[in-house]
Amino acid sequence: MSCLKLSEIYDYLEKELPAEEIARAEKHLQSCSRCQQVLRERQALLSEINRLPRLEPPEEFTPQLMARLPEINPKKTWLVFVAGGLYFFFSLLIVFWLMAARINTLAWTWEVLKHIFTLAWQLSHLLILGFKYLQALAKSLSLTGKIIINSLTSLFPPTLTLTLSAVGVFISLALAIWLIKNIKISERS
Amino acid sequence: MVENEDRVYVRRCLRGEKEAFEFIVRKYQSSLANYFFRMIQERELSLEMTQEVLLRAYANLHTYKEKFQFSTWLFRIASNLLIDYWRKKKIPLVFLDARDDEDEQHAPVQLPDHEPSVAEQYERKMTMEAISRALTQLPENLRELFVLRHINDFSYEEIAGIKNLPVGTVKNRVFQAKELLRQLLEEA
Repeated sequence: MSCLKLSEIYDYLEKELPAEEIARAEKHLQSCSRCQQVLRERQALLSEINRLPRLEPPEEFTPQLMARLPEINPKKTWLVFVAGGLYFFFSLLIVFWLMAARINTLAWTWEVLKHIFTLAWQLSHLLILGFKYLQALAKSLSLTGKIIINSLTSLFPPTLTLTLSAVGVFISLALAIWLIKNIKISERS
Repeated sequence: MVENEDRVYVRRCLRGEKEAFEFIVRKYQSSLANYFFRMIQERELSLEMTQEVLLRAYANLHTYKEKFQFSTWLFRIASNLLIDYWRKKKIPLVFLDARDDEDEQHAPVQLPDHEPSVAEQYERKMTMEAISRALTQLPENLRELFVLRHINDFSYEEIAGIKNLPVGTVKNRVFQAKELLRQLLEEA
């Protein structure tokens, strides 16, 4: 049997040798004085390296570092989506409610609303099913999305985002009222 | 290393709990300090660089991706800081070609296994100093991989992740470092 390579001896000492090789190496080491010698030398080197003195940071290291930590504003990117969703939902409700009050067809409006939600539900279901096929596209878009979201959240903190959403709701409400007042909707006879 | 624990603390930091970072500091300050100490041999500078790495890590926690090990991510920051330091100091990075000296004969390193006497303690101290000196003579790229493996106890796969190198290359360079170190100790 040929002698062990130096790299195999290191692997054996560092327990990096594959399991099936260990028995072969040990069998050879029992009978080869040259490899035994090389093994002892490398073992001595590794154990000396392990005994090298370690640098321990002083006790005050941690408190000093903790005192230097900057403030982090938790990145609440999800707030942008929640605010956007709430804004859309709220606006939709207001418009339908005002229309229903105007033309006195609450039940009909409710049905329309239900259909819209069913449609949205089906669409999201379809999107989830098609997600695997869209993954490749999503990966390429994710970088762009990340840049936009990061710039948005860095430009607009969560509080400002919420304020802007509230202003948006107010404007849409005012617009809806103006539309109802100025556009005549013929009532069904 | 308990990686899941790291991730829990990272998440807490990202939620604004600054004090959760103390766990990370206490866990990694020593290994980072030793990494720098073995690379630049200056105690105070090593501690400063350790502090800098931890501050950078804290400021960039939101960029950490949980699919990677936190320790690997942290030491990648440390390695980049070290490269910046070398660039500023204008220390040339030396790259060695792969050497095939596996069949060379080497003299044994004789070291006692029993409880050391005063003379032996002195001899051991001298050996430690000789190893520390020999380490400084290793080319930076070999030394860094050697330190990550034998001072910081990273696996070859983890080092490959930190340095963005193939595992085979890492193993080969760490092997070269050990043999070169042995050679330097023999010559000393």
